[in-house]
Parts: sequence; C-alpha cells; structure tokens
Amino acid sequence: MTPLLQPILGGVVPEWLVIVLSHLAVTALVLLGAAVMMMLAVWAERRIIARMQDRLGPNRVGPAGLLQSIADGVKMFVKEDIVPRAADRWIHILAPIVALAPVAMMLAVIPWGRGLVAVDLDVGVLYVAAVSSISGVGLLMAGWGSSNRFALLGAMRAVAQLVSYEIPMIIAILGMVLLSGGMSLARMPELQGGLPIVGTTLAGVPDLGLGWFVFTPVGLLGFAIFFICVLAEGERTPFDIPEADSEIIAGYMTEYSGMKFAVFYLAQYILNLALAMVTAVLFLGGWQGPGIAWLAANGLDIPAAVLSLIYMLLKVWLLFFVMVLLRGAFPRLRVDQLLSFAWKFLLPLALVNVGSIAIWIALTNWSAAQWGGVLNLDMLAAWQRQLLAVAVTAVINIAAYRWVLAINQPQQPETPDELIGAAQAS
Amino acid sequence: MLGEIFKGLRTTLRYLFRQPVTVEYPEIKRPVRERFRGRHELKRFGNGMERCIGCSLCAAACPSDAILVVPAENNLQQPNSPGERYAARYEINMLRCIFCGYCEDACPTNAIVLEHQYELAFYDRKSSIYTKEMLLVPAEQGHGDIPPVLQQLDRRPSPPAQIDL
Repeated sequence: MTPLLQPILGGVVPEWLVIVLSHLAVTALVLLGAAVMMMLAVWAERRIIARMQDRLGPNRVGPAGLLQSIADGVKMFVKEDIVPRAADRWIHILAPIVALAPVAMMLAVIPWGRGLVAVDLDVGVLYVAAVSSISGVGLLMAGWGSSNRFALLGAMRAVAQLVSYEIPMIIAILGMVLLSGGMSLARMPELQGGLPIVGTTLAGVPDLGLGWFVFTPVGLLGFAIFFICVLAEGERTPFDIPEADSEIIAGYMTEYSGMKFAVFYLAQYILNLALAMVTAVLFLGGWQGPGIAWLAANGLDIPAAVLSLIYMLLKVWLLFFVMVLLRGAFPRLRVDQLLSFAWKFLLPLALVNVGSIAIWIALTNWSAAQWGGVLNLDMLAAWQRQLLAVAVTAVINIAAYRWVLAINQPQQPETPDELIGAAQAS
Repeated sequence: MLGEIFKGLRTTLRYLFRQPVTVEYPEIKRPVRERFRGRHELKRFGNGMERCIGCSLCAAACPSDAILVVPAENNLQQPNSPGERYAARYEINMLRCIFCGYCEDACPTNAIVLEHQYELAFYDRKSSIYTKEMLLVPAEQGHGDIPPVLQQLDRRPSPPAQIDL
C-alpha cells in the first residue's frame, strides 16, 4: 500500500518522513470523521427520538439545531472538573481515557469504502473483538474509583452485561469468519458482491454488489444475533441497564461532570457507530452496492471510492436509526431477563448457526472426495449448490429458532392474562 | 415473539411521521380562553374617567392581601373618577396575587378586570409591584356610561352601598 501523501511529498522529503506523515494524516482523518459522525449522531438521535415522542427536539442552535452538540461541548468544557473527595483520584481521572482509547482504536481497521481503510489487518475481526472489550475495564475503573454506590452498581452491571454478550457476539463473528475464510475486515465486503442469495455464483449477470451475507439464512440469523449483542455492548435501550437513570442515576458516570463526562459520552457514541460499521461490514456488505463493480471495472477508482463511502455511511446510519427506533419503542429489560436472554436464547442460536454455516460450506464447496462418497454434488452448477445450501440452512435455522423459543417458555405466569388464567385453572 | 416486536416498532415508526404537538412558545403564542384570568387592568368609562372609585372592596376581598388602595377626595373641578373619591395609589403585588378573581367580583363599578396578559416574569422583587400607571388602560379605551348614582356629587353623605349598575 502506497502512503497517502506519496504523490504530494514523494521526492521532496525523505521516504521515512513521508510514511510517518501519511500515517498521521490518516489517523487525523479517521478521528475527525469519527468525531463529526458522533456529533451528528447525538443530534440525529435527539431529533428522531423527539419526533417519535411528538416533540420537536433541539432546534435552537444553528439550522435545525445542528450545532447543538457544539454548544453542549462548549458547556462541558467550561464546567468545573470535580473529583469527589472520597474518590480514588487517579483511577477516577484515568477511567474515561481507558474507556475512550480502545473505542477509537477500533476505527483503525474498519473499511470506510473501497480502498479506504486505515490499516488492513489480517486479523481485523479478532482485533475488533479484543479491543472493544478493553473499554469494560474503563467502566469498572469509573465505577470503583468514584466511591459511589450507584457508580459501583452501574459498573458491575456493565461488566456483567459486556462479558455475557461478548460470547454470542464472538460466536456470530466466528460464523462469518468461517464463511469468508479469513479474518480481514477489509476483505469482507469484497466477498459480498453479486446478487442477493446466489451471490457471485451465477455467471453472466452483472455484479450488482448485493450479495450481502444478510440475504442468506445463516447471515440473517448471524446478523440478528450480532446486532442484538451490539445493542448490549453499546448499552443501547433495551439493554441500557448499566446507566438506568430511573434506578441508579447514571450508573458508572454518576460522579463525572464536565470534560470527563463528555469523554465518556463521546466513547459511547463512537462505540455505537463503530459497532454499527462492523455490523455493516460483516453482514450488510460494507461498502458494496450497485454500480461499484462497474465503476471499478472501468478504471474509475476515485468515483468508486466515493460511491462506496456513500453506501457505507448509508448503511451505518440506517443501523443507527434502527438503534434509535428501538430506544423509542421498548422499555428496559430486567437484569435477570438480560442475562438469561444472552445465555439461554442467543448462545444456543449462535452455536446452531455456526453448525449450519459448516453445512453451508460443505454443500457449496466440498467435492465428492471430501464428502467421502456420502454425497456427490459435483454435477450441480455453483448456483444450484448455493440454492441447495440456502434451503437446507433455512430449515435448520428456523427449526432452531422454534426450539429455542419453546425451551424458553416461562415456567411461571408473568403477564396479567397468564396470571388470571393460572388463577382460574387452580 | 418477533411479531410483537415488529408491531411495537411499527407503532413507533408511525409516530415519527406525525406532526409534533409542540408550540414554539416565544414565536407562536396560543390565544387564551375568553374567561382566562391573567394580569389585572383598571378600566375607564366611555368618557375617559377612571372607573375605580377608591372603595377598597377589592383589597378587602383579596385572600392573599396583594392589593393596596389609597383613596383620595376628587377635585370637583377636575375629577379623576365619577363619585366622591378615586384611588390615589393602586398597587398589586404580582408575587402575592393568586389570580382568583375575587377582586373582580367585589368591584362595584367593574373597574378591575383580570385580562389575558400572562407574561409576568421579572428580575427582582421590586418589579413585582404593578402600579396604577401600569394597570390603567389608556383614556381612549373606555367603555360604558357612568351610572346615575355616581353623578350625585353634591349629595352628602355618600350614596348607600346598594348600587344597581
């Protein structure tokens, strides 16, 4: 990969300086993009949730309230920086930084568009999974260092939630790694070209860039599991238990004000956006979309990059909108509901999904020799094998969903109707 | 389970496209009801004379003791009001007033009326005292004829309290 500033600075300054400056420029671009996206996200969330609640939302600062986040930032900046007397001073101060840094690091491996990736890491998926879990340490530090019972409760809830939901999340990612045969996030969108369901297996049709994994049964189930886990990791409603404001004030953020609070807030929104980007890359084709393959084939690399960036941002904002919609529609779960949902519902489904992805790969890729004579699919065309795999995995996944739903039926009556029915029966 | 989830999401989504009920207050002011009780006004008769005759019945009726009336004898050449006396000072403390409208009921000449002005914010307690100049309507906004009983200026003692308007 040639450094970004090579065409401008090549030959003017030493080679090593070009590389250093290029990396700095890319870092600045990614962080700036993330910060701007975060401000837009805060504004968009407040406006959309307001409209869902028959209100207008912030509309005073700037056109349609667009500068509200900047005004809030200025307010945060001039507020007094308070460290409670009983707090563990250094842990209290370090916690927001520990929460923000890994979240910002996640952005490094995410492909923003065709050829627009800061670092093309071979183990990008693993890196995202590993780094995103570090911020949990920051939350626990915040809760412990504040020496406030609400903060500690919130931090404990946050860590319990993050740890539980990481398992189905990583198993869902594992399935996608099996399907794509690699851990590079940058390569994921390239595999999702072609048409819905059949992907690139059908020869002779134009590459519409719509062969997203979400259109296959295994990808759809993986997407559902992964997106639910994203909601839990990002502490979005209905999983906002760690900062349940009606129960424990603001959770681990209770004792934070001013810029330290703003850093937590920034970390949370960047985490939400970064996880939405990872979801888009893994399941919604990332930057893939109609027209990109055609532009790239005709040598128009820069228009292709711009169009792919637009597709990527559209998908990310769509996912963010769904997050806001969920927040507008649903109340918060109880802690026991949260944990039993992760362990008793998502985890079995995720494991079944890995199994059906293995069957998918066997049905689409294995030769007769690999099957050991049990099954010979060599005479079928690639698209026929793909459709066969779709049918088989769809049956498996629907059966698994019904089974998991059946074993999760509550043993004791909970809703008013059930309680009345139980009372009448006895 | 999925059906219920999508039903809830659809309901929320429908609300997204409804017109918000918010009224953007400083720019848009909704009209108040006809019988709304806002800030008081001291009315005048059609010929521009003050309706208030300084009887202090409003101050007596006031449950929160918000009204101060200091009456004075009318100058017979240039009377401020029909009748013998007028209010030399008339002050209402808006911090005490509870807008119950009892002063309106007590007034024998319909001089004090709770009108529709409701923006009564002020920066210090002194500004909460509304003086007669602030409450009195301009001379051209008077209405109604002076009742005959108030025109018997030469008769003493004062006319009986039973006034039929």
